[in-house]
Amino acid sequence: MSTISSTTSRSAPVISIENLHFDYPDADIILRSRDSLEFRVLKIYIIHSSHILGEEMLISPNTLPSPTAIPAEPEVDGPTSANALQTVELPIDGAILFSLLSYVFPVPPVLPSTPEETMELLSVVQMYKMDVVLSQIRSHISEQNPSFIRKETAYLVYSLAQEYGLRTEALQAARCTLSSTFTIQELASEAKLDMMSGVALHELWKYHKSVRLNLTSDLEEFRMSGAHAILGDSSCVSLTDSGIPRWLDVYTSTLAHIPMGPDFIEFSMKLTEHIQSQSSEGNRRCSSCANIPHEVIRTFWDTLTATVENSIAKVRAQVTDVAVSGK
Amino acid sequence: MSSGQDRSPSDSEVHSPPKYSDMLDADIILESSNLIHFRVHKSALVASSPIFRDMFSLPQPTSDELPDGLPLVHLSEDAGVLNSLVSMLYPVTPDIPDSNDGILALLAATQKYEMVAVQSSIRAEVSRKGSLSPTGTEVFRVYAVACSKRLFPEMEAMARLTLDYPMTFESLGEVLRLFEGWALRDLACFRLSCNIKLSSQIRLFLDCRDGYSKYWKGCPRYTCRSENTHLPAWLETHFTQTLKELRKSTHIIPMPHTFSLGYLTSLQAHIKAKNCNFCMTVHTLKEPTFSIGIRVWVELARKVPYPDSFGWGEGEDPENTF
Repeated sequence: MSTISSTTSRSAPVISIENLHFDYPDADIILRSRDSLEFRVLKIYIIHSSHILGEEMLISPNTLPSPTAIPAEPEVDGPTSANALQTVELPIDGAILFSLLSYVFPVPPVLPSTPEETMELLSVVQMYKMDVVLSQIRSHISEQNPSFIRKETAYLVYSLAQEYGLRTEALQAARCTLSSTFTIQELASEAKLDMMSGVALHELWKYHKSVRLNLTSDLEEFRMSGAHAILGDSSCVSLTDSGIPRWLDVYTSTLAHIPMGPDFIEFSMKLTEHIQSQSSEGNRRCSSCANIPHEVIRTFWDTLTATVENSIAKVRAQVTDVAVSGK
Repeated sequence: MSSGQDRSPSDSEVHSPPKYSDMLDADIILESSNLIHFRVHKSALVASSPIFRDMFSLPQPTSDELPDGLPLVHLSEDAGVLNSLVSMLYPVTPDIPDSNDGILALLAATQKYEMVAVQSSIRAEVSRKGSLSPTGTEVFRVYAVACSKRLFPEMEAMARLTLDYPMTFESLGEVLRLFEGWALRDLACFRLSCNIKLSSQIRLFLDCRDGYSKYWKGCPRYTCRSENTHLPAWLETHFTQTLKELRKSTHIIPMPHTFSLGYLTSLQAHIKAKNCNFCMTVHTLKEPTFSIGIRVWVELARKVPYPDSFGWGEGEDPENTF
């Protein structure tokens, strides 16, 4: 908390992470957090960052003399405007407000240390409609290593995103959960249920269901027409009615049930397995599949990957609507 | 008893006017959340509830007094719940709701006002009438509601009832929205505990480490692939398959008679296919004992304790969560 007068020497640091100190030179307003930390800042930066916060400052009647602004010898007419700073109370924890201000002022930005605080910061920024700051924070988050939204944090982030109505994070986290087995049993064993409300869990289940439905439909279309168009006529030992190798058809259709994205290594292994299994049984070796040109395989793979990506992305709109309604 | 989706029972159960809203010589008025007045006696409230006793021991504000001079106490319960509650405080016919949600709301009110004896009476009456016996998805819904109201005996009872039904996202559907995270976790863990208990009993049998497996050694028609167990293959296959199904905590824990039925079906198929006198004889001579044995396995599994620590966070007192 700042206890330095705005007129004191500038030798003290402007900000300090250790004690959440934020004392901007020539501050003309005090922002007071929910836990009574005070941050001396320049009003103009706040007004430029958020119209909502700016208006709050303009209408705030809470113009109080700051502790250090009270003169040593009481004046007859009370504190003058020259040494009294307007104080605006904000319903934000000090740690979050500190982080927020680090993105508003030209100082090194500081992300909160936990996913919970980071999500709260994003929710505050969204609440005050600080679009530029929101972009900066999201950009900062995207540079994190390890990723902010990863398998370990996805459920927590999703739950908080639903709670705060953060569409982007809800979608990213939901997408990330696609790589996990999504059953009640699995979530219970991984201690993921505690952090999720029933509403959030239900919405996530609907998301998974929509993704699976979309994938089933899109991959079916790909198997029936797109795949053959790329591969051309095949003389594989086992073909489907649509004229593509059966092993490829089976592999493609299974992607709808495990929507974690196609894995090229797995795909290559299936191809090898197919070729080798034919020869080991003493049957005719599938020279057709063994001789598929690399370029064709690459094109097939790129198209398949794009089909899956686009199919999952189509569920985006449904999730974003859900994120708001789930709040 | 309603087995339907009684989402707003209180409104439907409001008597018009409430049956017990005007007790003779009342000295206080309870006002329900939907502004219905119940003229009752302080003494009846004080005798049943330490909360009301403490409330009335404090100086009463005069601003809420009505023209007839009786003090008014606003309560958050609706008229249906208050009517039932008042009926439990006087020597009149208890007016306990029929619906699941109505019963839970009444029990929650007694818990809130610490009416321990009244709550016990309601539970006894509900048990006597066989109320609160939902079926299907409604069991999960009532469990979730009981959890939200921190009604532990009802949570436990409903958790045991859920064992008759699979628990998946698909089967829960919209009911999932009523769950708090810990409630779903506890239910999944409880079902898993039951599951593990039954599975361990079956494994003991399959490994010939229990008292019943010895009966089956020696089937000449179709001996087991495993040399260690000497169980007939049909029997091993049957229980191995059961184990596979039990591996999911989302799977049901079968009732004892259903469990026995599965064994009988497998036995009949074996005898019909192999004309196996050995297994027929074992069944004839040992069936009563063996059947009792496998019923005991299931009963033990279905009686796995539902720990009372479930649901409460560290340092959280379930009595102070209102």
